[in-house]
Amino acid sequence: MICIPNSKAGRRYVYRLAPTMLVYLLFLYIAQSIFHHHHPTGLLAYFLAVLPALPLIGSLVVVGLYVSEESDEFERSILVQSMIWGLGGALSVGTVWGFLEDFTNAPHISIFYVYVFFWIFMGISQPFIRHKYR
Amino acid sequence: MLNKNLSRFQRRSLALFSASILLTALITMFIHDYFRLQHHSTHGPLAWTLALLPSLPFLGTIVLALRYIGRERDEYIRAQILLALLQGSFITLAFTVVYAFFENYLKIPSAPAMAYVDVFLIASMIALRIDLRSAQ
Amino acid sequence: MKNRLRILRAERNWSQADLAQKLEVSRQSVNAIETGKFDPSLPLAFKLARLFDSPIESIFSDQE
Repeated sequence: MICIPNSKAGRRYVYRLAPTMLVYLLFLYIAQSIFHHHHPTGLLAYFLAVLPALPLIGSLVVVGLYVSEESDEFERSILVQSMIWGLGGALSVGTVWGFLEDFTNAPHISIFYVYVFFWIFMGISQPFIRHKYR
Repeated sequence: MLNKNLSRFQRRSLALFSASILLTALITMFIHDYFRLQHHSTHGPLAWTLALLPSLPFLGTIVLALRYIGRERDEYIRAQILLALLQGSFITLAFTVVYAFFENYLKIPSAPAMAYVDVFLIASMIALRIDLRSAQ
Repeated sequence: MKNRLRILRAERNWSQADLAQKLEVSRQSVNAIETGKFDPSLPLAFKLARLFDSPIESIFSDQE
């Protein structure tokens, strides 16, 4: 399957990504429950708010490490292209919807979806990019 | 250092890119004032069409950037620019994620539409500057 | 870039997967290079040259 790369760097990427996402779920649960029950303020509130964001940033670091560790230059080129498309897609969706929010009564969608759309566009673009080289 | 020896293609791409960003900013301001001064209703298809107007030059900017990357023949410069764009992407996505959680838990106001694009452009430019400077 | 990889491969009866394994790259990389859709970097070109015991210019050609 395309999703699981069969290079060494690719496997390392998957083995690093999975625990990172588990840590994210854990931190999210912690932050949610403490905010829900105890309504913290001040420095503690900031710390708890940033807590779930840290493993998500970690996932981006994991992708970055994958790009730099991948020794197959063709695969790395595909990866970099898919990341560019991922970002282009995410910024497009985020900005277009942002304009709708600012000027009309479009419902507010969390800016978090920019991050989600990055992964979606990055994944979807890969088969199209690969097809170019057939 | 950077601006002295641009090829014709690079100079043209840079000019087009800057013009596109400027156009986006101008149309955004125009549409913003239009909605504010006319007390225009925020409902209906006309409102949505007007609101989407600034998106057009912005999407043009993205198309220009992708075309440039595809056509730039100087592979060193292309590699440096790609690297800077990736570093800018990383900063932008990190900013997005942190801002989203602050918005959710700490109820800070939501950012305007072009906020993350601005972050991306500024971060990429700074990254490019640092990369080129340290590569010398 | 045009190249003679397919011919050189056929002379040794290697599949694309075989060549990929010897070069430590993926099969798609070998295919992309063979079809001229992707140019290898210098280190990879030298690896190919050493593998086929030929100079790089006899494997790759940048003439149209």
